[in-house]
Amino acid sequence: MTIGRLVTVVIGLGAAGGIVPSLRAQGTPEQLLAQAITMLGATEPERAVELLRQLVGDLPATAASSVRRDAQLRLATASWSLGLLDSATVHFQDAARADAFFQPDPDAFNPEEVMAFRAARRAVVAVGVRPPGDTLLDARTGRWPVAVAVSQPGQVQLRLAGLDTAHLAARTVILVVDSTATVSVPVMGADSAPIAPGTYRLVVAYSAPGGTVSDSTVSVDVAPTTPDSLAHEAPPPDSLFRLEFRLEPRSGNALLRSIGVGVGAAAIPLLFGDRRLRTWDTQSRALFVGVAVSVTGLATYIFGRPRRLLPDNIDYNRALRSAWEERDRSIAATNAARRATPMLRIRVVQKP
Amino acid sequence: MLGAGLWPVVARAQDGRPIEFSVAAIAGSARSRALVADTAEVVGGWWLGGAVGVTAGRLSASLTGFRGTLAPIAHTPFARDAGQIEARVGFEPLPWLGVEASYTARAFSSSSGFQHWTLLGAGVRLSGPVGDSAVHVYLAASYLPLVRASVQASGEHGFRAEAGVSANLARWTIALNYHFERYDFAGGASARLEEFDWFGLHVAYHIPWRRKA
Repeated sequence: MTIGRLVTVVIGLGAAGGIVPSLRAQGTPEQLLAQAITMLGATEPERAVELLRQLVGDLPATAASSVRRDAQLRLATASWSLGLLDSATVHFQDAARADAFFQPDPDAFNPEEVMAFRAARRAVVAVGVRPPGDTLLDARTGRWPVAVAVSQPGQVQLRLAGLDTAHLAARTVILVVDSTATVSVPVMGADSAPIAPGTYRLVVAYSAPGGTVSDSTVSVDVAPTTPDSLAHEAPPPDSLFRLEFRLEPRSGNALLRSIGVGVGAAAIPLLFGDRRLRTWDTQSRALFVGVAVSVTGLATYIFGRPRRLLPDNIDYNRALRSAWEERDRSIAATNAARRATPMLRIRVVQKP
Repeated sequence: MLGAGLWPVVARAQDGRPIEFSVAAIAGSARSRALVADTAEVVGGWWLGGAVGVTAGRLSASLTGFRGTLAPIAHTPFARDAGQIEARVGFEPLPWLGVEASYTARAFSSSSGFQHWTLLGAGVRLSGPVGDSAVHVYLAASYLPLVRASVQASGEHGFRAEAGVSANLARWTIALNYHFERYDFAGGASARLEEFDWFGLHVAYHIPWRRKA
């Protein structure tokens, strides 16, 4: 190659790089996927296939599995429509690997594509896990629910493994899964002690007749935590309580009663005391109390009103208050139990 | 045995009724008059006391204690240190009627000697509201079939009368009352007669207690 031809090639490549924008420059993977779907809708399958091939080839490792799955599915259906059946099968298999949970919707795919996808899925060895994003568990007895999907019936092993040796691995769960299952992963070690706080990987090992595959892309952060306490319920509003008494009209008998008792108090020494021990000192004390009783009765007759209690309403109010107090005690007991229970918070920090 | 026999009746009467405890402070002015050989010896002074009580529906019980010094007023040169403990149980078969029983131990100490009194009483109490339902007046009378005093070879009997007014203000009760007691001792011409009375202000605080359903 002469220097002149080399310069020409370099200039040509540079010009091509400037004229054809890179895939990254065209938008996010989600935007590209949307463009491809639009092209498929506009019956431009060739352009859509070209774009989707570019997309699946350039997808970063950190891309969401749903985007990868959808891109492969669209590529498979586009290839299918162009009669590229082998290529479509390969893309269906890649879609199954990207998301082992996926099952095609018969309303969105034609029956032949559905059958082709199912056959492709059965042909690959793929496993998928879906852990809850943020979970609070009893550190002593709690189990972490993880959804598992497999492409073929096989044996699945799950365990939480520490990223360093300071964090011991939790117990391993082994079970046979036909298609999908929810696995309760223990959060305690082999010695039944809660696992230490730290970062763990969810290690998944899957053995099927077609082969084995392992996955440890899920990382979780395990931290001790204090659970939220339940809020105490506000006491019943005053409007819910019933009137406990009714004011009655003034009674002359009450006035007579107070005057009678006052006179009786003053007369006690006269009636029951011995004449030889009777003095003004003794009499004055009784008289003082008698006058006080009568004056109090007179004052309450003028300024007060007798009240008639309403027992049914009192019982109703007492029941209302007791029920609230009972609920409050129950909440307090629940909060005390929660505070006494060691809890672990498991948060997914990296998803598959 | 009587208590055991009555207990089922009382327990039925108590069913579902609230229980209330109370503590009280009492300040009173007391007089003791003794007629001995036609001479009336009189001592008197202030005494202070406290009480704890429990009311369960119609049933009530209380324990009251007093302490004070009674100074000589007439025909005696001796001041007396006085103290009293009284236990009382009561039952209200009707809202306005109560029956009660009491045991009282009273002691006087002076430079001339020591007296110990033991009293057992049973009586009735009539009470009712006046004007305002929070204000009650009451009259009570008790017969004291057992009066034992260390000053006499044999006690005969006694009588007690009370009257007062009380006002309930939320959990507080303020009461003013007058107590009068008379003791007659056998002895013919040398018969001894004593009277003891006091009036006082009584302030109590009530603490409700609800049983779990």
